[in-house]
Amino acid sequence: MQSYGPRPGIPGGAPLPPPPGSYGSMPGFPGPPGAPPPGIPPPGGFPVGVSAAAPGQGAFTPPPSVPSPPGVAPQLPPSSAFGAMNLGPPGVPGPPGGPPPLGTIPVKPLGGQLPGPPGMQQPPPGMPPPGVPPALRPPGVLMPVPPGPPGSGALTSFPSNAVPLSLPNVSPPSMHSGGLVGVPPVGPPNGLHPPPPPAGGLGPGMQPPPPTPGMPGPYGVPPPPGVPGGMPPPPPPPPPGIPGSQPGVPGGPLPQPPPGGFMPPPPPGMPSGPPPPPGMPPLQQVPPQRGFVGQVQGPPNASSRIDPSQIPRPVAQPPTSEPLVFDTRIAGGHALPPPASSRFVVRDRGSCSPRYLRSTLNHVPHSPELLTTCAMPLALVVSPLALPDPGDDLIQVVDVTESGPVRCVRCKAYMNPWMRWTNSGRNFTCNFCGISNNTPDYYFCHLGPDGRRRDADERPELCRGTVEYLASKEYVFRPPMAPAHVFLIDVSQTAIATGATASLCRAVAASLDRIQGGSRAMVAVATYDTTVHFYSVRTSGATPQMLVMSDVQDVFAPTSGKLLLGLEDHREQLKELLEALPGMWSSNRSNENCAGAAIEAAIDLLKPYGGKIHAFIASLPSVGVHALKPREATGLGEKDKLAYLTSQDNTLRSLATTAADHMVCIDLVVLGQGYCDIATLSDLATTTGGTVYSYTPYNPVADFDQLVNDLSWNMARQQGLEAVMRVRCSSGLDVESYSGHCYRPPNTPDVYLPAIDCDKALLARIILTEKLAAGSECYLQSALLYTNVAGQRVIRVHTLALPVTDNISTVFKGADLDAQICTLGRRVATALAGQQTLGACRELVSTAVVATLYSYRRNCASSSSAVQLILPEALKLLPLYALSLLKGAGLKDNVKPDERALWITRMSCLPCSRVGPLLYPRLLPLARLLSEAREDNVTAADGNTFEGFTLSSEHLEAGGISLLENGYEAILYLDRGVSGQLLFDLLGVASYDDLVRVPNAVALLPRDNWPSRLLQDLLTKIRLQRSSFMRLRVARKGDPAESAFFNMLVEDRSTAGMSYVEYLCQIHRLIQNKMG
Amino acid sequence: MDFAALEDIDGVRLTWNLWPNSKLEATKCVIPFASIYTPNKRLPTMPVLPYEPVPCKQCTAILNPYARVDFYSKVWICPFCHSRNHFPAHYQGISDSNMPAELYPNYCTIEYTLPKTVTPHPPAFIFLIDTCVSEDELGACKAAIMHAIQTLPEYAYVGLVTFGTHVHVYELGFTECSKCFVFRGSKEYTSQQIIEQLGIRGGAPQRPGGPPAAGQPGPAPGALQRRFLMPLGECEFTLTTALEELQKDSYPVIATHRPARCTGTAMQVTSALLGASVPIGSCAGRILLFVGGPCTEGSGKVVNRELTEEIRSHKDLAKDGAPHYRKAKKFYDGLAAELVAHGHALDIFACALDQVGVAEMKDVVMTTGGLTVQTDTYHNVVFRDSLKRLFAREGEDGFLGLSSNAMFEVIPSRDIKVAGLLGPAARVDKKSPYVADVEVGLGGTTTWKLCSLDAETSLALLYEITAATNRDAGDAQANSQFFLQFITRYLHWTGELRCRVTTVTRRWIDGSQVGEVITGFDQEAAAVLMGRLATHKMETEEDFDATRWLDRALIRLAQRFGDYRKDDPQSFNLRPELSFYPQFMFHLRRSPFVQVFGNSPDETAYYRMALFRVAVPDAMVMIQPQLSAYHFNGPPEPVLLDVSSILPERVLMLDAYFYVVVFHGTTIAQWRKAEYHLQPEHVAFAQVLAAPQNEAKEIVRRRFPVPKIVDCDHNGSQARFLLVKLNPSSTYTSATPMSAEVINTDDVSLATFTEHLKRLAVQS
Repeated sequence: MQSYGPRPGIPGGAPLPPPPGSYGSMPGFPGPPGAPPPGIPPPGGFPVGVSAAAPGQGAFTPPPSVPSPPGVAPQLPPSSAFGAMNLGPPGVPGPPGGPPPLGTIPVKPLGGQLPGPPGMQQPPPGMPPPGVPPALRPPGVLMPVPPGPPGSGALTSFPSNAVPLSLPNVSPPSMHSGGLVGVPPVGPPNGLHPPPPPAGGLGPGMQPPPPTPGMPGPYGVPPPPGVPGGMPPPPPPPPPGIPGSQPGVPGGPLPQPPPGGFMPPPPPGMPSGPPPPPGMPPLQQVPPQRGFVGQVQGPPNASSRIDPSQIPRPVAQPPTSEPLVFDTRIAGGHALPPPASSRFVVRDRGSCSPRYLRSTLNHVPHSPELLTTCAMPLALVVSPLALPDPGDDLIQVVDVTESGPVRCVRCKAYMNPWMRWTNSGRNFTCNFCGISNNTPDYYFCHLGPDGRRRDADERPELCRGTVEYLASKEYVFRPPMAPAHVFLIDVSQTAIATGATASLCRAVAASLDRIQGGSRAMVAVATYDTTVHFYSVRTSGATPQMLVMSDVQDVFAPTSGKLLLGLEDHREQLKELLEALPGMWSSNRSNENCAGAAIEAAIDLLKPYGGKIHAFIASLPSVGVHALKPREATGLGEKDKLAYLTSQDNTLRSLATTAADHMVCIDLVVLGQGYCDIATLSDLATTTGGTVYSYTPYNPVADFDQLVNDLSWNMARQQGLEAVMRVRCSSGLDVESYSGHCYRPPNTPDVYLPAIDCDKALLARIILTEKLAAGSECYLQSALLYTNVAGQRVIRVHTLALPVTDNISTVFKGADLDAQICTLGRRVATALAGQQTLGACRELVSTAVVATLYSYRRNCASSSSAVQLILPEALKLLPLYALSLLKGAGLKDNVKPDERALWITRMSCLPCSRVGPLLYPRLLPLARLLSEAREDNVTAADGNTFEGFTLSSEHLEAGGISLLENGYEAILYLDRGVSGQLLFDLLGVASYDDLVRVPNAVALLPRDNWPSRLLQDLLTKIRLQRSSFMRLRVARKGDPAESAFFNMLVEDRSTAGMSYVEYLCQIHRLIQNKMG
Repeated sequence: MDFAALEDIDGVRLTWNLWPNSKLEATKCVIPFASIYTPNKRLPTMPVLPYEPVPCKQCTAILNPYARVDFYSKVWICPFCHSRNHFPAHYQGISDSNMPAELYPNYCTIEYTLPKTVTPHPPAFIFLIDTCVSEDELGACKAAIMHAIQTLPEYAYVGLVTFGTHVHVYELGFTECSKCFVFRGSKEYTSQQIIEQLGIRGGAPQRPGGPPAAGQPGPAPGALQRRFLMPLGECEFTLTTALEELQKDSYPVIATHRPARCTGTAMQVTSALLGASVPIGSCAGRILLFVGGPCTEGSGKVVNRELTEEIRSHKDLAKDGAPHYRKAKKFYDGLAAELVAHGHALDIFACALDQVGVAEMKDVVMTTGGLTVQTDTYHNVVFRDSLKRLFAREGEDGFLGLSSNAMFEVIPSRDIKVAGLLGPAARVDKKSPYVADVEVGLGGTTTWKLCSLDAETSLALLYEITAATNRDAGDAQANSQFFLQFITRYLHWTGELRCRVTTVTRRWIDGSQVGEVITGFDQEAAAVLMGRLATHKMETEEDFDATRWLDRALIRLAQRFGDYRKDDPQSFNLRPELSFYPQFMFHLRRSPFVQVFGNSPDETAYYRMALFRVAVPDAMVMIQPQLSAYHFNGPPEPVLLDVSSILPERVLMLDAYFYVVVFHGTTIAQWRKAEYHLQPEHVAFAQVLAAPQNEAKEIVRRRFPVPKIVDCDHNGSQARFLLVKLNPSSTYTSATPMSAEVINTDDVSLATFTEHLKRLAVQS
């Protein structure tokens, strides 16, 4: 293992396909002025080629000089950038806080480079440089690729390209704190800013695109008409010597996919699922349909008689260009929400959007008995800060800083459209507890003839399901905290050697620009090995002072130095520090770390303020307080008590509680090579509203982009600080418990959320305490008091009215699949962490599914034939998702402890919109897409083609290419018989055999040919849709990604379990057994 | 006898120079038998021998001029134990005409250079800086330190530790950026913990099988010790940069609170650091503490942070109303033991208007032989110049002659036991046959350790005479002389290991011959010893009334050695050998050593530390300041320390050791104001004005800590510095003012004091 030297190279001796030097020294490229200084080892190979792309800056650092808003799309004046998107209210300026998070997503992500304006105008870094060392070139493959014609950049039909995807949130601009939101579904063409073809791009050495003899059919077609704006311009002229030897291959044959550094850049501000553009989330059934349509008949015993093509699967929405418009209430009644991961825009008609509150049952059973009978959970998935679609109704903000919000005196419920006004408006009756309140004088208004207040439509809280209050003084128990971030970077030898430290420093430096909160934001950087080192920057502008906290048994923060630095004032110093850190520690010989102590010290530092800790851990903490023992279980059999899924260190749990008490949130980022005991460490994140990221085994080449993106998104996404949440129910209902990444102190009804963001949901389990009147409505209200990044204390109130029914069929009709699998997933997660055996947890899934279906069968479809498997329409996919659960990392056999623990932490916080895709990933037939695109002369997947495949290997096309994505990762599967031309276009290898021979993980780089562009485009779209970077792995024979790919084909029979058809039969059998 | 002249030879003063040869008579002498010895006194004529001393095989006393030598048989007889010793082989050539230097009668103090068993380590200094002071103060402190550092030799090792809420230990060997290890002020660390957390193993034994410095980043194990303490030449840039960038402690301070200052923990950390960084015993290690306020955090806390709580006063201490005092004292005593074990010294530069806790830390300084400078601000010249003097090199003005790691041993003749030691030293547990039953001060041993000693450091040793009353004549004859030998093995400032041997002899006499005994009485030495003893008792004995104790001793002394008829005060007459002693006692009673009223515990501790450190002449200045008069009528002359000495046409100069007052009489002051001294025709006046100033500067130049110069006029406010020291012979109660000045006090004057003494002495 070689460690980082001054020479760029892959740490750890991982053989990097093309020696970086060969790229960097290419004559055709200008020297990288901003290339990392020699002392700082660039994480293996990132800067390759990239350095040429962005002169004047580090390969991954966004240009420091670019102020935030212009950073979005520098070519455009900011106003046009936004205006063109028609995303927000007219005239809404960019979010004040920081760079619009989404804006910088370059259309054509340039290799491994954070989107930055210069980068977009530069020659494509990802472009395979001509100077490929001959040795690496596959012999005999001299396939020239037609470079994009110079003019092609001007026109484009990739609408989503370069869409600065930032949308002010619901609140009026002034209130808006830079929260990012939303994605313009379809960027109008004028949103594009095709970069002028770089002058140098068509140098004298440029070869005209010669028709390639070997290029077959579709791919041989000269460049597609539309080259996206951000499209990499033609490759730079080949080096003098090379053209001669390789005529006609300007940028052409890249034998080897460059390392991951060429991956598309982080879309730092990816919008969340809903907003994604044309993406038709195809994986859900069509919502508007009602009734029992989905009955599937299956012969009881012969699975062979089930027609696999007939069994229920998530289906795509019909490809419409317009998203579904969903009114939360129709004709005075509750409307059944559309599937969570589909695209819809919400009209708030009094109940809040299902993005915020989603009930497992849209029709609430009127009695506890009925609820028991229907054997379905009653729970509310609360995602108070969920990302709205840009088309959604904006959240109205009410300024009550003087008077405070109007609330019921008894139950403290907030004013909502269902408060009943009596006594000519002088009183109102609380719809939650039923008490009559006096209307405050300032709030009085006469009633209209219909009994409504005359001002009902003017006051958002009287007509909307969602409203946000600017809180008055009594809600501010201390000055609203500033967004404070502490970065804890592992500099132990292990981390240095694997390249994790260098990656982290770069990633943190890059993410600094994404931190919201403007001048209020505070940042501290600390490193640790066997001691914890804080860095204090003195005002003098001198080098930072390192404060070593070596008391790792009795931890404290060396607050005698100034550790939390104002980001605005110290941005450059912090970046310099981060740049210097890897070099400073490059000779570190300590290979243990005290991550637990470091986290405790950081908590100590943040105690007076609250804030967020980003703890980057590269190996199991083995020193100091909270040191952990390696306890990777040997036997992972089904009968194992899953002891390794429970915390081995109770002090960590109490530490997490302390952190939550002080409003400190902890995000864990694991970049280990082996076991890091996520099960124990995750307590820190799950208790404090944090997130656990894992990149194990970390490989800087493959994972860096993902790391940068995750971190940037973490900073840029919509979030709230020092939050307290509570769900109130109308009488007869009560919240039994909450689950999610939160902390609920004993004996309080409130849930503490040191941080809450748009990617997290809490689950409130509801119980019926008494009988309700059928036909009436019951009410659920979540109130979240939080500090937004702008430093305002706000209360976000979501109110939902649900009808009460005494008809069990109605209950089933109103069942919400997304919320139910979310609930089920959390039950599994809880059970796994609760030391039950794997078998018991699996049993739990099937039992729950069978109980529900049995209840339906017995109570609603008893007249059907016994041999028929009858599924309720709303829940027809329940068995499929249950099967996916069983086959997922949580319940599968032979899963590494860390992987299982990670699955648990994910599952316990996911919002509805992300559970579905995670369980039933989307499989896109890329070859078909490509050919369709060719036929239709479409230049990029516009979303209508997002129709997925059945997750079964039977459906894999011979010679096809499939893209699988689940919202967390994406895998490109290449069949053996894939066309050589396509392979070459996408990956630069001539044949599948060549691909298999590539020693390292294969990365997909943007290439200047239309299949590649189209794929990149598609990827960008999917990423935007999922608000997740989803680094792409290429699955080939013998690759770990290949088994991962097949593991996700849940409908197949595999070692993980039975096939879908078999499972249906089993379910059916179990139901029949129950029927008796 | 001219005791001062004797002192110049050997550095020894004895309270009694003739000792009664019986225990009974000895007890009647009132004033203890004691010696005050300056072991590192600069003696220009003293030879330094380049070989090892020859010890007596029986009592380990060193061969000295008083040994009886049989040149023929090459045998010497030890004057202490009378045992016969053969000379070592290389002495075979000696004869009465070829004697080694140690046998020359006038070389009764002699120094040997010991062979080096280990290479001496260059001196090491750790600067321990309080950052809980104002930026202005800190700036002055930093400037003074940086200035002082420039005078340090390049090979000297330096370290930097700062403290406020936390302790910051700078790793000067780390050049990438400023790097320091942080310790929490509020936590009690053990030295072992500190060493481990610093990642150094220097003094501590290597852990068996453990990896060296588990995983600490840094240089190779061999160089580990150099990370925090480095030769100045190698780290000067890092050190000065760190000092320049040093800022006020950024921990927020509430307006109603004192800053959190963890002086105690910082000292502990520094002590452990120094102990682990340099070899024990062969390095002159000093911790220089620069402190600007009381310790309010962690170990050694003197006062709580709330300003509502006042820092302890003498009254609190007397009434046991100082809640932190005992605990802090105990902590600092433990710290002192650790420093002594390592042989390192602590110097305190306390620069604050308020107290900083010197009273608690006193014993750390005392047992390690450190130096203390106490002023009001870092801007004070007293601080600046004193610090500079600490680093003065040999040959420069104000060179202190700091030596270190001394083991001091005393060997007395038979019938003399050692009761104890009063002075800046630490007890060494070593069995010895010469230990007296009664223990005074640091007793129970005849060996003490002095981590640091300068040319002034003086040790008072108290003896007990155990001779039986009935001594047979022949024996008495043989033992008409008694001997005391002081052996000091120490690390000389030049880096040599030296051994200084001083052997003194005095005569036994028949104790009943009062008139003869008193001729050997050294009033000054006695006064100084009584000062040390009284203050020692004040600190160690509960409800000790020093004034009363001193008075009683004086009366008993007068009773025994005065000439008088019983019950006739008028007949009382003191022998000349005793004539000044009452006056010394009068001033001692009024001195801040005994009188705590009007002084804070810190000030008292400061004065007492000085009293315990210096030799007899300087101590006498402290007890009874010297007053000189400058006038037109002749050369300057010493005048009575009396208010009557104030005359309009005189300039008085008072040397009160800690400060020097130049006092201008009314007329002189007017003339000076009129600037006559600038006029050429009044050269004489200018000379009168300049003379005391020059004299004062001369005093300042040679004294440590540098005294403050007070320049004042009659009736000026600063004149109080003079008046407070004067004998109030003329007060507001006096019917007829005898002088130009009247002191408004109820204190008794010397005359009244003497009256009472006479009256009480003659009482039967």
